[in-house]
Formats: sequence, C-alpha cells, structure tokens
Amino acid sequence: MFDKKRLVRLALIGALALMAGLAIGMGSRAWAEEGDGSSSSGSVVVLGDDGQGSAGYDEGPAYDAGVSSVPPAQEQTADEGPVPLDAEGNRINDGQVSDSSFLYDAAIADLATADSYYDGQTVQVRGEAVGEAIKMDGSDDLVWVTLFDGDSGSSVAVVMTRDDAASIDTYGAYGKTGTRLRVQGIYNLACGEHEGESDIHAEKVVVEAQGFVHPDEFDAKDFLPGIVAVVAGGFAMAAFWCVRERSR
Amino acid sequence: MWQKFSLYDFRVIAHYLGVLVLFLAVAQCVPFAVACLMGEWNAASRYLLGAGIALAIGSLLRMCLVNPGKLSPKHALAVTGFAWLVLALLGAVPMVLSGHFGSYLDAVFECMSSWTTTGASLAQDIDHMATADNMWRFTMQCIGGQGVVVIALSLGLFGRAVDSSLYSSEGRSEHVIPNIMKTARFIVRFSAQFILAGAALLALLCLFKGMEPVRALFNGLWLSMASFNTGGMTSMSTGILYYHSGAVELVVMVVILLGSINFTMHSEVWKGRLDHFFKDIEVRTLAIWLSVVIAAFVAALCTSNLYDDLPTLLRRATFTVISAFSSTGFQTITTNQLTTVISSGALLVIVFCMAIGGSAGSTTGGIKILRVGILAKELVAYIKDLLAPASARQVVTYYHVGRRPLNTDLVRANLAVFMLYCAMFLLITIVTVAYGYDAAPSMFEAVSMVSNIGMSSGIIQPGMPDMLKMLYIIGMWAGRLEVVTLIALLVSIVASFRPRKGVARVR
Repeated sequence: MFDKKRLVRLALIGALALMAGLAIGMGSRAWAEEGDGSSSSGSVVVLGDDGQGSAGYDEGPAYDAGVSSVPPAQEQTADEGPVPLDAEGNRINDGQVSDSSFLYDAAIADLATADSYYDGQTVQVRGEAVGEAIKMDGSDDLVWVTLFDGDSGSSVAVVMTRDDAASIDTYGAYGKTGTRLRVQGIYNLACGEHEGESDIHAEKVVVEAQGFVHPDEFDAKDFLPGIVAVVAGGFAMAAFWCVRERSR
Repeated sequence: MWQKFSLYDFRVIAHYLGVLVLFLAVAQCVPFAVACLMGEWNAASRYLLGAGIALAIGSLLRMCLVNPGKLSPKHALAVTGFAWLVLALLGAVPMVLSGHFGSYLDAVFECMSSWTTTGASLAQDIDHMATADNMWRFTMQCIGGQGVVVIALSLGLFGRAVDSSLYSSEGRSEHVIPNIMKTARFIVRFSAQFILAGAALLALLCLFKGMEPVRALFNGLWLSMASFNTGGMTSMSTGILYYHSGAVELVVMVVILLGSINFTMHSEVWKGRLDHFFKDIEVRTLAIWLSVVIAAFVAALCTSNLYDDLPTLLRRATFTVISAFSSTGFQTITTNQLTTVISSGALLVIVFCMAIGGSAGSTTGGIKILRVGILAKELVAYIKDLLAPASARQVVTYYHVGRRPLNTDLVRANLAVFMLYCAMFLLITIVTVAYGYDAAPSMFEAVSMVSNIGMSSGIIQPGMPDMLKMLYIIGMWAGRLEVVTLIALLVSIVASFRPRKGVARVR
C-alpha cells in the first residue's frame, strides 16, 4: 500500500514538475512569438479602369512555382518598408459609401483566417491549382478549383468558368507542380450562392507559371536501407523460430 | 492492494506486443504495394524500410519469451494499452521520412490520430502527398477503427492463447457471437462489406465530379474507410469540402451512421429482430440526444446568419452533428467559420455532442451514449426512490439486447468512466488555456482529442507547442482506451517499480 506522506510528497513534486514544464513551454512559446507581427499581406490597391491594381506591385515577369513563392514586389516591400503616399491634392469624398471596388491583395492564409472584414470584398490571390477542376452541381459552365499556398499550407476554393480552368495545364499532386495562378474576384466568407462555403468568385484568372511533372525516378540505392532492415528482421525471425523449436 | 507486474509479466507483454509489431510490418506492405503500382519509388523505399524495422523489432520483442503461456486479463490490458503507442511510434517512421512532417513528434501525432481514428492532422502540404502515404494513413484508420486487437484476433495472430479479456480490454464488452474469434471475424467481414459498397458508390460520385479514374477510385475508398471507421481524415487540405457535393456528403453520412451503430444491433437487425433495435436504450437515447442537439445547433446557427436558406442550414447542421457525435470529424463548416462567424453557443453545442459520443461496441469515441442512457435511468430511479415510501423497493431494468437489471456495479463502472472523461477534458482544457489560447477553442480541442473526434477550432497546427502535441497524443491514446484502461495500466506499472517497504526485524 502507498504511504500517505509519500503520496503527498509525490503529488507535490508532480505539481511542481507540471508547473515548471508549463512555465518552460509557455516561455519558449512567448520567445518564439516575440517579434511576430501581423501578416505582411493585405495591402489595399485601387482597381484601375482595366481592372489592374494601380498601387502595390507591378505584374512583372512570372516567377517559377516551387522556386520562390514570394512575389518580387512583396520582397521589396519587406526590405524597404511602406512608401508614404503623396496626399497633396487629394480630396475626401464625403458621399463615398463602402463597396467592393477596392482590391485587397491578400494571401490565401489571410483568407483562411479572415473575419467579416474581407467578406464581399474584391481580392487578389496567388496560388497553385491542386487536385482537379470539380464540376459544380447545377451548372455546366462553372467549376471549382482549389488554390494552394505552399508557404502557409492554406487553401481556398475558387469558382471559375470552364474557359478559365482550361488555362490550367497541370494540377498539383504528388510528382506534379500545378499551374500557378493569380486570381481576382469577390471573396465570400459564407457564400449565399454556394451553400455557405467560403469561396472566391473569380473575375479574372491569370496564369503566372505553367505547371510541370517531376515523377520519381527509380534508384536502387534508395532501397538499400530497407533491404538491410528486412534481411535483419528476417534473420531475427528465423532465430526466434529456431530457438522455439529447440525449446520444445 | 495494487496489481503489480513481475519480470515474467513484462516478458509475456513484450512477446505479444512483438506479435502486433509483426502485424504492423505486414500492414505496411499495403502502402508499399500501392507505391510500387503507382511508381512512387521514394515512398516504396520508405515503406520497405518501415516494414523491415518493424520486422526486426517485432522478432526481438518475441524473443523476450519464447514460449509464453495463456494471456491473463492483466497481460491483455497491458498488451492492448501499449499496442497503440508502440504502433504509433513505429508507424511514424516512413511518415517522417516523407518530408510532410515538421518533426518525428508530428508524425507520431499523425499516426496516433490515425490509429485512434481521431482524424486531426499535422501533415503539411497534404495535396502533394504520395498515394502510398495517404493509403498508409487510411489503412491505420481502418485497422484502428475496427480495433487492433479485433483485427489481430480475426487473423488468429494470438493463436489459442487468448480469452475474452483481450477483446474486452479494447473497450468492447459485447460479444456479437459467443466465440471471441468468430465475433472478431464477424465484425471485420461485416465492416469490409459496408466499406467496399460505400467505396464503390463514392468512387462513382468522384468520377462524376470530374476526377481522374484512379484518383476517383482511391478517393472513394479512402472516404469510405474514413467514414465507416469514423476516422475523418481526407486526402485534400480543404477536407470533405473539396468535393463540393451534397451527394458525397449524403453517402458519407449514411456510411458514418452504419459505422456508429453498435455491431450487436447490426447483428440483431440482420437476424430480423427489429424490435430489439427499436427498444434498445442506446438507440432511443441516441434518437433523443441527436434531436435535441440538432435543434439546438440549428437555433444557434440561425442567430449567426451564416446561411441564407433553411435547406442549406439544415444540411450543414445535420452533417456537422452526425460528424461530431460519431467522432468522425469531417467539417463542412470551416475552422474559420467556426471561430469567426458562428456563435460560441453553437461551438458549445458541438462540444457537448463530441463529449457524449456514439454507440458502445461501434467505431465511435467519446463517453458513449449507452453510459449516458444508463446514468439518466439511474438518476430517474434515484428521484423515484426519494419520493417513494421508505418500505418501497423498485427494480430498475433497461433494454439492451434483452432486458437487463440496472445494478449498482454497472452504475459505478459507468460513473467512473464518465468522471474520468470529464477529468481528462478539464485537464487538457486547462493546459491549453495556460498556453494562451482562448477558453472556448481550448475546450473544443480538448474534447475533440479525448473523444477521438478530430474537428479543430484552429489550435491544432504544425506550429503548436510540442508540449501540447504530446498532451494531445496522450489524450487521444487515453480516449481510445476509454481512459480507465490506461489509468489502470499506468498505476500497475508505477506500483511494479515501487520498491518494497523494509520489514522491521522483530526480536
């Protein structure tokens, strides 16, 4: 039977150890979070007549998917910081009401954790098309495409036309890097048209980089550790069998 | 007096764990074969290594005792208890080498989540995961859902060295057929039929939605495996929402319900005894409980204005409640919507639903609806006793495959499990809150882990603290063993290593 005093002592030591563990864990978390600012994305750019952003970063050349997923202009912003706007001559329109004419250059991760602020706004996201184009129930013209952001591991569903989806040459999967797209459209936190799903209704789809296939190549050397382990395991099994037979 | 293990006991336990580890080596042949068929040579080499390591370790463990005797109940308890941990630790080897996990701990979390059919995932970039890796995740869910011991028994891996204690130690107390091995085989055969039928239907739906034939076939199979075994994992990062299909959700719901009903009940229905089904305390409690929860959840969703029309609201609410009570964990309401759009009241309704869980003797987790039914019946009897004259004696019975008396031992046992679950919920919630997370999501995650649900309110991510990952792994493990088995096992081990008290010499 347990001695009561010993039990109390054990309980105290246990409680102290738990507290110390928690303190260490929380401390390390706090250190890890130190200096962690909010998302660098989410800058507002005004849509021009052509539907392109007039602020933010230029379209620039398409960059390779899988090599650098950070757009060059974002890198520049991170290095140099925001450039103050020249407000001279600007006038405030008192009659302006909120609408979706602003284009939010958003990261997919931002949308995955978006609150109602983004709901119904025009956004621009970049990501890799993965899986396949999924047919939409009750529509022959529209499909669902999943856009994946490799940096954050977040995804967002995009509703686009079949014609837009036809520009995707490869969908991301194992051994395939999907076509990298830039999509502009209206973000819905809970879409009324599509049974409450969070989605983007694409208005403009631009291919930034074509996808490519990179299948596994057979290399016998890769199998060497496995073969050694299986042989060792087989030897151990045979040894067990021999010992058991002798003991009978 | 605490039960202790001797060195011989540990050798017996090691021997039978070795048998299960050898079974793991054989199970890894499934993803290995898939990798070879799909030309995924990197994955094939990893699963060959994983099988080899399991083969070697399993054989060495068996050598701890060459000729073991029959398994006693305490050995059975320990073998079942440790099996989940050992299988998670070894099953994680090929996973961590895939590059989809930040650390070995993440891979162990994934494997424990798969074996215990929790369904929470720390995998990164699932959309680019190899078919073989996905096959391994779903194979683990399938074996874990049926029960590692049940599968091993059905394959006759333990030979004649077992009795019902091994079967019972996995949280299954009812024998569909008097013979244990035949019961195990019935469960496996019966489950396989439903899984294959569900897979065929879901594969057709995936094909219709525009997926490539091979991907449609695998997705159909995986969805069916995850649904019947109430695992809840998917092969895409957006989860079940990836399919954007009401038909897929409907089939998944039916398969989930089939997996969530007590296998004994299935057997009774097959035998044509429908009255047993409708009179059963579990079925009746479940019907009442689900009606209440769905009504409360729909009411809570109405206040959040998430959905514009009633049919959509009802569809989403029903799916979420069925997914939560059955411990499946598929989400058609995204994590973001759960935390930003719907009210904390709705979140709380789901927490209660997850905590109570599904049917005993099925693939579900949680406290189990049978226990709640029995405790509710005891509560009514207690109130009746208070109001009745002192001389009155009442006999309380309940209907579960025949009429049974509600005795004190049964109520004590159910109350103990109920309280242990509540204690685990509380402990994990407190620790999660201590890490700085909000109370409601912390409670949601704690209940989700211990009840083996897998739904997440956003805390479970690869970047979460390692201490929390470890705690959640223990939570999933404890939940799968209905807490009491794990506690009994740990107490026995501590008692075994506690030095004996010095005996004072009497002169």
